[in-house]
Amino acid sequence: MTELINRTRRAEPRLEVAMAQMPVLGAIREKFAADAPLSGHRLALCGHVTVETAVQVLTLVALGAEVAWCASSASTTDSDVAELIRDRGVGVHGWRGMSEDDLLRGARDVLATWPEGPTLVLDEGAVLITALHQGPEDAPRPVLATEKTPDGLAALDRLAARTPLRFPIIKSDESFGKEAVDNPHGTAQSLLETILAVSGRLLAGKVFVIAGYGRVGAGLAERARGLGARVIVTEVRPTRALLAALDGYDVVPMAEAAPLGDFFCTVTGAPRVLRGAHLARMRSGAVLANGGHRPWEIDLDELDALTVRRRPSGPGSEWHVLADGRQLQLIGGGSIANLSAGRGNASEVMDVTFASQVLALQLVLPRVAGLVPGLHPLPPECDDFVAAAFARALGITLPAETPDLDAFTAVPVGGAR
Amino acid sequence: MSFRVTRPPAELVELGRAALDVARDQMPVLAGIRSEVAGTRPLQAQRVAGCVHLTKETGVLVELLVAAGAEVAWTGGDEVSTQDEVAAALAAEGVEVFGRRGMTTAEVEQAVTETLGAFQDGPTLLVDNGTRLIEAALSAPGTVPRLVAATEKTTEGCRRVREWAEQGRLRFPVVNVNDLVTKWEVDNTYGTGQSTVDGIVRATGVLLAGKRFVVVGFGQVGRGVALRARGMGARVVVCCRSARTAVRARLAGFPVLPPHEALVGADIVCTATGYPDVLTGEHLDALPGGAVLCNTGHSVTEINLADLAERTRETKRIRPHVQRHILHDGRHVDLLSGGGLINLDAAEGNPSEVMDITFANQALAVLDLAAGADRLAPGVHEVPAERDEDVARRKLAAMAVRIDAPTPEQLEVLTSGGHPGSLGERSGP
Repeated sequence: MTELINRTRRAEPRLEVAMAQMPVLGAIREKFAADAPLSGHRLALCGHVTVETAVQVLTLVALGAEVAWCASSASTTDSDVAELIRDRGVGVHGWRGMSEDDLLRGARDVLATWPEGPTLVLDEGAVLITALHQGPEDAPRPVLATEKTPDGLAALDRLAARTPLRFPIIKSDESFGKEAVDNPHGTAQSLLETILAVSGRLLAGKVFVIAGYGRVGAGLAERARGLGARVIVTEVRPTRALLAALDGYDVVPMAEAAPLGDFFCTVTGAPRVLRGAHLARMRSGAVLANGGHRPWEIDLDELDALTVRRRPSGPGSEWHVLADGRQLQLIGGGSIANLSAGRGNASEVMDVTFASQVLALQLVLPRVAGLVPGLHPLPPECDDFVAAAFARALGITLPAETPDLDAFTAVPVGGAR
Repeated sequence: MSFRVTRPPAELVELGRAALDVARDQMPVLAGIRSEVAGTRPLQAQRVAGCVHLTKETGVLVELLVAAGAEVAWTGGDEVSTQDEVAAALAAEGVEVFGRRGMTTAEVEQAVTETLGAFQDGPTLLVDNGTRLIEAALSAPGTVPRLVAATEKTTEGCRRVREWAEQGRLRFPVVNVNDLVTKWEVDNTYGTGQSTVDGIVRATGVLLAGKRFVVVGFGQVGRGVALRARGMGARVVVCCRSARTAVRARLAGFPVLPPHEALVGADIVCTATGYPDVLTGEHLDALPGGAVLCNTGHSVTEINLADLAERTRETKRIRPHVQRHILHDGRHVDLLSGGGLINLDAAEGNPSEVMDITFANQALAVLDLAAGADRLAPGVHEVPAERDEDVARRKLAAMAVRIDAPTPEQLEVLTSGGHPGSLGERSGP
């Protein structure tokens, strides 16, 4: 018991700090909590058990929802946070070091929280939504769901190809916040921060090879150049390669970049970008990191095949010693580096992303009767709210005629449409 | 009176031909397309009416259309941007050209009407830039009995065409050649971004380093101008109409201020919004004496010239492209290019290498339309993402940039469902 109280106390100050750094969710509570637009709703949530998700959960509770929460990843779960939120009356299914089976059981437990099932779902990786399509056809269905990751949306595309989707799902991944804030600034910063912190190397004067010039890659390139690196970009998409070239970066095939790089970071979303043939030509001491969602961008099987010995190199990375004596430093085991070996995105960034998900449910709910089952884009007013609240938090004064946060009344704007 | 260019003087034709030679050398993508179509002449039965700034680069596009077999009529559709020598050289080759440098807005409209009426049975295809031709065709359908389709290449134009489509007014298909990475980002951000700063420097001779440079609007053009001005050492401030662009500008490191605050202490003000009346009387009143005003948005209406005239005691032309307005209160402001497009008037428009990409999209869209426009319903049509990649691929080859080919498994992931990063992904930071 004392242990539990201690845990709760340990997490409390961090929750307070995160609350202060997440003003967009704050604006949602301030604008809408009094009307309790989610009251009477049972909300199942799948997400990393972190202090930022805790702020999202408390926001949903403040809007009137009854929430049950399962962990989306074993490695990111913060048990102190889980305890703190349980203490506030929310069912949390997750603890540090849980197995993959435990994760799935947690998801099932969340869905079984209520005999009639959830009415709302806020999903990550389509875990809950997929489970809700495995039961009998006549099982109770939620009225609305949202999916927040690209992987989850791809999984839903595959699911939809096999079986008709049973309820409307809003694609909150494709949002202004993700495109304009999270990818180019949040993820780009936290990736570079992690690579530097874990490797402990000086970036100035080094060659930094970035595979993939999407939004994250472009942000990463800009930051690495700002710190004095010579940036080389590799791409398979001609349009993105052209933009990289016009931004002043060297663009070459990976086979030519491999022997030049001091750092490599993959941010493509595609599999096996750094393969054996590339690894075999790298300079000793090269640092390898993956910033894509899945741990498949660096071919770990081929890296292992070249490796004769591994030795640890401090938290978050490992040296792979190759047969000829060269060593490559792999960050975060090839998993997404900023989450597996770093602190993840700043709370300010998660605020923007999480707010889109809350709004995807809250602002769409009043007109859910008009939505057919299946995938739907995030309505523009969700992005408008996020941009207005974030602009206000940044202290930007907009011209008097521009609709700002005050233009959003307590009645959800979607209700009348 | 007609604005048709007839019997141009030989010296002017020579000048125009020389300009076209220079541009052609820097437009390898268009040259590649031209060599692909010159033998088969797929536009043989087409009559193409175009309304795109008549620069040497546009001239190279017109030459391509002629080489592909089309009959062509052209006008620049702008008060200040027509290069008379290029108009002369094209007219000498048998192209019907209308307009000249230095027209009033009413004269621009008249030249557009003449262009639309240049063919006996009217045009079959329109190549538009700001919907002047499309709008004229919609309001006088009798003049275009054989019209099959049109292309439009500006952001504002596409917005208007979509409105007409929603109102049910659009009677023919329009291909949107604006919303492509190779146009939207390359032409606007890099091309117009550079040529705008170039135009300001050429017109005024000003040192940018240390100056307070106000960019109004942070779309692709505004972003390009802001980044380039910062690169030259200016202290850049951005004004935005929407919270979304304000957040983008701020996260790119620019101070974002409302106009009345931004303009205090401004040395240079450049509008890049696509909307009218961005700078009105109250803004002009906030400007410090000596400020330079210019516009790089599509239309001449961004700076309210009537409000400026009302405050002006006298004007002096102090340099080419620079009109000094001495105001009633004794301050003066310098208006560049009469509030028209600074980059096309005081500089040479976007560099040929950039227009090579933009016009490649237009040329390929025209060729597609000629090959199968009857299959498109009236309305706005997007260019397939693969076409965008094709143009980028051609440009990379011309730049001698080599890239990896995706492995089959990568291709499957990158093209499935549009995420996590499809081959057609649009936006950048």
